[in-house]
Amino acid sequence: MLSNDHIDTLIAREIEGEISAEEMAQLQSWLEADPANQAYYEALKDTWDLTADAYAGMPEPDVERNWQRFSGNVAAPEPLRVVTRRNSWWRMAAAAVVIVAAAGLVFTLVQRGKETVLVADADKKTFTLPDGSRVYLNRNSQVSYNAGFGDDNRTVKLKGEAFFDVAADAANPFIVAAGASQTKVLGTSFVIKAYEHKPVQLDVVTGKVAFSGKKGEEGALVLTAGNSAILQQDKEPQQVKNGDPNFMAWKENRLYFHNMPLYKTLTAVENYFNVRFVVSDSSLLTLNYTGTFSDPSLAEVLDVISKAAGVTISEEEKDVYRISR
Amino acid sequence: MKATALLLSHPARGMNAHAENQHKGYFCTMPENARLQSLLQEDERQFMEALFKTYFPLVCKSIYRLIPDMATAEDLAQEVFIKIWNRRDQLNEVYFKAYLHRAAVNMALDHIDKNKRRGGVHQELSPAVEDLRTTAPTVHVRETKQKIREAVDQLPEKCREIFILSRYEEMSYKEIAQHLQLSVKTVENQMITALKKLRVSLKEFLE
Repeated sequence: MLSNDHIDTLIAREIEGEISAEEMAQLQSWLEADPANQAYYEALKDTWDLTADAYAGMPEPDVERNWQRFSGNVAAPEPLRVVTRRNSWWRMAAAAVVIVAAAGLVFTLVQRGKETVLVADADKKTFTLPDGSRVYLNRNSQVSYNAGFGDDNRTVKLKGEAFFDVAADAANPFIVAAGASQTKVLGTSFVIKAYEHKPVQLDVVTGKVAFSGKKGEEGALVLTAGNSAILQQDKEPQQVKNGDPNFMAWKENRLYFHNMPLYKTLTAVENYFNVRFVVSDSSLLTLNYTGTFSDPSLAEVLDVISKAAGVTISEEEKDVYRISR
Repeated sequence: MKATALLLSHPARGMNAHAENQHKGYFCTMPENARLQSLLQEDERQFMEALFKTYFPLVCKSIYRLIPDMATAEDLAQEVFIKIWNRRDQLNEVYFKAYLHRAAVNMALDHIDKNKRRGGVHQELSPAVEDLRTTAPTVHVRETKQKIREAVDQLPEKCREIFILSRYEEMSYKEIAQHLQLSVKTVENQMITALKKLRVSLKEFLE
C-alpha cells in the first residue's frame, strides 16, 4: 500500500516531468484504484494548469530607459579622447609618433626562417633594429621583420604596443604594418600600439606620417604633430581627437591625471599595471581625480587615489581590486 | 547598431517563451549566443548593449515574479548587468540566456533574504499586491490572472519561492533545492503544499 506522502511525491514529480517509468506505473495503478484518487490528482493538476500564464500580462520594463541609465553609469563611453594641445606634458617628449593599432586581421606571415621576431611577454623590453632604430616594446607585444630589413626595405609588423625611435634614412622610409593599417614614417620617431580586436589608432606627437588602410597610399591620411586617427576594420582611416595624456605612460613610466573621471583614471591604471578594477557602486566612477605619478608602484597609486577620491580599494583576488565607498 | 537590431528580432519574451525555445531553440538561440560571444571579442561596449537590450526584459521579469514591485525589480536587474559588466573578461564559455536567468533568480532570492533579516519583506510586498487590487481590470481574463498572482504571492514564503521557481522559472526540483539549500524531498513536499493552498484560494476558477 502506498502512503499519501509517497503519492504526493509521485504527483509532484509527474508535474515536474522528471518521473521514472516505474513511478509512473505506480501512479497509474493508484489512480485507477479509486475515482477519489483520480479526483485528488486532477484537482492538483488543474491548479497547476490554471497558474500557467498568470504573469503573461505583467508590466513590461522600459528597456531603452534602463539602457540609458545603465550606460550612463557603468559603461560610460570613452572611445575617442579629447586632445588638449596646450600644456600637454607629453608634447615635450622626444619627437614621437604614437600609433595605437589593433587588428581583427591576422598578419600574413612570411616564411618563418627569414623572419626575425622580437617579443616582450610579461615585461617591457627594448631592442635595437639592424638599421639602428630603437624599439621599446610594451608587455605582451611583438615586432617582426624580414631578412632584407635595412637594405631594400624598412618594414616591420607589430602586434601590441611599441615606441619606435627611428634612425634617419630619407631614401628608405620606415613602415609599420599593424592590422589592416600601414604607417609610413616621414619623421624620425614614433610609438605604435596594436592590440587585437580594437580599431587601429594613431597619435602623432611630433613629425609627420602617412597612415593608410586597405586602399594603400591612395587613401592615406597625412598627419602632423598633435593629430590622431583611427582605422576601423574594413574602413578608411579617419581623423579623430585624442586627449588621453597617458597613452605613453608605459614607456615614460609616468601617470598623469588632471580632473579626470575615476573610470578613466582607473582604466589608465589598469593598463599601466595590468590589473583589473571592479566597482559595485557605479556612481563612484564619475568622481574626478587629479594627480601625477612618476615611476610609481601599484600600492602607492592605489593608496593615493583611494585617499584623494575618498574610496576604499581592496584586493579581491590576484590582480583584481574592488572599489567601494 | 546593425547587430542590435538583429538581436532584437528575437526578443526575449519572458519565461513563458522558455519552454517553446527549448524545442526549436537550437536554431534560434544558439546563433544568438554565438553572435554575442563574437561581439564580446570584438567590441565589449557593443556586446553589452546587445546583451542588455536582448535580455533585460527576461532578467527584470524573472525578478519581478519573485519581488512583485517593478521599481525594485528594475534596480536589481540593473545590478545583475553591472555584475556581468564587471566580469566581462570571464564570459568566454557562457551561455548568456541561462547565465542571466540564474543571475536574476539569485539576485532576487538574495534580496528577499536581506530584507527578511531587516524584517522588511512584508512592507515591500504589500503595496504591490494592493496595486493589483486597486487597478481593477475590466477584462475578465486579466482579472483572473491578477487573482492568481495574488494567490501565489500570499503563499508562505519558502513555499511561494519554490512554486515560482518551478512554475515560472522552469527550474527543476534539483536546481531549486540547490538554490535554496533545501533537500529535493522538501521541494517536492512544498510544491504539493503550494498546489493544495492555491487549490483552495482559487477554487472559484476551478469549478
